[in-house]
Amino acid sequence: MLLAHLTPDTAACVVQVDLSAEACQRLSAFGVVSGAVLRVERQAALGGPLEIRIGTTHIMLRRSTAEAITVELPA
Amino acid sequence: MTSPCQKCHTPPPLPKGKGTARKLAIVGLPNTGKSTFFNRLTGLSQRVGNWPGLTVDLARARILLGGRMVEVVDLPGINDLSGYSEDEEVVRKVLADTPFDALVVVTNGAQLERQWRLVLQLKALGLPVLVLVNMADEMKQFGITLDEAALAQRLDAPVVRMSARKGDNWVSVLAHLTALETMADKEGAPHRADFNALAATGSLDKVATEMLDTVYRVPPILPPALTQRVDHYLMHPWFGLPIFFLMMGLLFQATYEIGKPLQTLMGAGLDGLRDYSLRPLIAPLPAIVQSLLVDGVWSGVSTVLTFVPILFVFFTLMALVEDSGYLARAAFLMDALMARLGLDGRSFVMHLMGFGCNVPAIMGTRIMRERNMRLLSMLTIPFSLCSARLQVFLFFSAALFSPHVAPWVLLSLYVMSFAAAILTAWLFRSRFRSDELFVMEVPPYRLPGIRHMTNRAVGEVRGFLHLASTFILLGVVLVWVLTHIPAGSYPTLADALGALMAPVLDPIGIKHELSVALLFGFVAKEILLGSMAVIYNVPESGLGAVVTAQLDWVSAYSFMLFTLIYVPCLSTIAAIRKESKSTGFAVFSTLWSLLLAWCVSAVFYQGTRWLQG
Repeated sequence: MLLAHLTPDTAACVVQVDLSAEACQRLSAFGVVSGAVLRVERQAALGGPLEIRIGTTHIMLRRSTAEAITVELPA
Repeated sequence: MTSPCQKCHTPPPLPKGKGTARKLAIVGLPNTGKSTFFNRLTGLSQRVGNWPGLTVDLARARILLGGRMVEVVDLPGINDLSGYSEDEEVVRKVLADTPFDALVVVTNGAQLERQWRLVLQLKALGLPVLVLVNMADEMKQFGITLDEAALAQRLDAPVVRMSARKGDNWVSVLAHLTALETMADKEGAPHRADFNALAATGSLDKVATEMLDTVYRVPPILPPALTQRVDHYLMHPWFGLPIFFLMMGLLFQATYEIGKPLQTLMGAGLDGLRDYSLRPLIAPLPAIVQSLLVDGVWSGVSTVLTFVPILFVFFTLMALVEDSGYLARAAFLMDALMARLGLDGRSFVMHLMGFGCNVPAIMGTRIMRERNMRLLSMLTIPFSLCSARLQVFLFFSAALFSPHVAPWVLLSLYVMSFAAAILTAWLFRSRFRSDELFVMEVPPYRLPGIRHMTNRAVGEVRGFLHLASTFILLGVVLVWVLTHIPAGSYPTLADALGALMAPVLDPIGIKHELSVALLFGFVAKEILLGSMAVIYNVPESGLGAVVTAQLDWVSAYSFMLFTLIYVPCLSTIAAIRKESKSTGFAVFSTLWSLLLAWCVSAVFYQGTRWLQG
C-alpha cells in the first residue's frame, strides 16, 4: 500500500521509494529508505502534508510525495 | 550595493604556517543548533558577507582561541555531502576551494543514527574533525545514552557532548577546539578537502550503523514527550489554524505595543537633536545647503532610524518563534492552501510578517532554501499592508468617510492586500516553479535563550542600518533635488514631473500635485502624509480639512489603492535586491507592482465614475 493511504497512528515499513534519484537522496537523509519503520503521526486538513515519525525524527511530507512511497504493514 | 564592511569583503589572505589565522569550518545538518553554537562561540564579532567566488552570504568571525586568531565560518546546514541541493553545493564548493585547518561537525545527539553518515562523509575528506554532539539536554530527556570515548576511538576523532543553548560542557568544547591546532599541524593542514577520497567510500549507511552499535543507545519506546502533547493542539487539523492566527496577532500586537512608544520616543529625540544641535551647527551655511541637509538627508535618515526599535522588538520575537520550532508547525498547517499558489507554508508566515514591516519579511524568506520559491514569496510580500501604509489609510478613511464606514474601508484594503498577493502568486507560479521536494523536519520545541534572541536581533538591525546608510540616503537626496530645484522658483522639477505624469495619473483620478506625494511615498510611506502637508502648505494637523475639500471619496480611494499596491518603499526594494542578489528581479518586482497598482486603481476609478453616470 502507499504511505499516503496510511491512517494516522499506524506504523509501517518502507518497501520502495518511487521518486527521482535526487528526491530519494534527500529523503534518505531524513531516514526514509526501504526497510525503515515509520509511523504517520497526523495529517493536515484540506489535503495538507503528513507528519511522519522515523526513530526520533519527525518530518512532514506532502501527500503527493507520500503517494510515491510504498509501505507494508507489519504482519 | 557596496559594503562599507571591509572585513567581510576583502578576502583574508590564505593562512601560511604559524602566525596567520587558522580557519575552522562549522558543518552539520539543519536544526542541529549549529548557528546557536556559532553565536555562542563568536558572540557579536560575527559578520555576514559574501564568500569569495560564491553568491551566498556566510556568517564568519575571528575569535581568539588558545592565544591564536582563528577564523570560524558557519556553513549552511546540509543533509548529505553528496546531495544536489543549493546548500549542499555551496558547502562542497567552499570545502573544495578553501584550505581549512579543521572541520567542526555539529550533530543533534537525539538523532545520531541519521546524522552519523554526514560525520563519516566529512571525516573522509582528510581534514582533522571535531564532532560536537549537541542537545545533550534532549538526549537526557529521551533517555539516550552515548559512550563518547568509545565512539571517538572508533571514529578516530574527538567526540564531545554539549548543549549549545545552555552552554553545558562549554569548557571542554573550547579545550577541544584549541587542541585542534595540534591535530592540524600533525596532519599537515590547512589543505583543501579531498572529494576523491569521499567518492571512494561508497555507501556509508552501513558503516554508520555499525559504528554507533552498542555505544549509542536510543530507548525503543520514547517517553511521551511534551512536544507531542502540545502538537496535538497546535497541529490539530481544525484548531491548529485559529490558534496560529491568534499567535500571529499577538506577535504583531506585542511588536507594536512595545515598539511604537519606543519609536515615538526616538522620533522626538531625533527631532530635538535636529532643532538644538543640527540647525545651529549648519546655520552659517547657504540656505539651499541647509535645506538639503535638513529636509533631505536628515528627514530621510531620521525617519528610517525611528524604525530601529520596532525592528529590534520584531526580530527578537521572530527569533523566539523561529527557534522554538513553531514555524515548522505553521508551515504544516498552511501548506495545503499555499501549494495551490505555487508556494508553501513558510511563504504564508512571511506574508503575515509583512503586516508589520515588509523589510524583515523579505529578509525572513531566507528560511526557504529554494531560490524560485524565495523569489515568488518576495514578489508577493510587498503587497502586505505594512504599518506605514496603515498610518496613511487610517488618516484618509477618518478624513473622508463616516465613523461607521471607515473601519470597512480599512478592512477592504486588507482584503485587497491579500487579493493582490494571491493574484501575483497565481500569475507567476509557473514562472517561478519550484519542483523541490517539500520535506521539512518538525523539530521538538525548544526555548531559545534571551541572549541568543537579542544577538540575532542586533545582527538584523545592523543589516537594516547598513541599508539605510546607503540606499535610502541616496533616495532622499534625489527626492529633495526634485522638489527644490530650481531653487525658489515655480515650477520645480517635481511640478514639471507632475505635469509630465498627467496622462498616467488622470485615468486613475490622482491630482497632479499628489504625484509629488507618491514620489515621496516611493522612498517611504511614512513621509507621505508629511509631504502632502508641504504640498498643500498646511501643518499636518490641518491636512484633514484640506484633503476633504480637495478630494472626493472616489479619488481618495483610488489614491489609497494605488498607495497600497505600488512599491512599499525604497528599503523594501533594497531588501529585495539584496536578498535576491539580482537587480533585474528588484526592477521587475517594482515595475510589476506599479503596473498592478495602476490597473487596479484605473478599474476602480473609471468603473465607479461610469456607475455614477
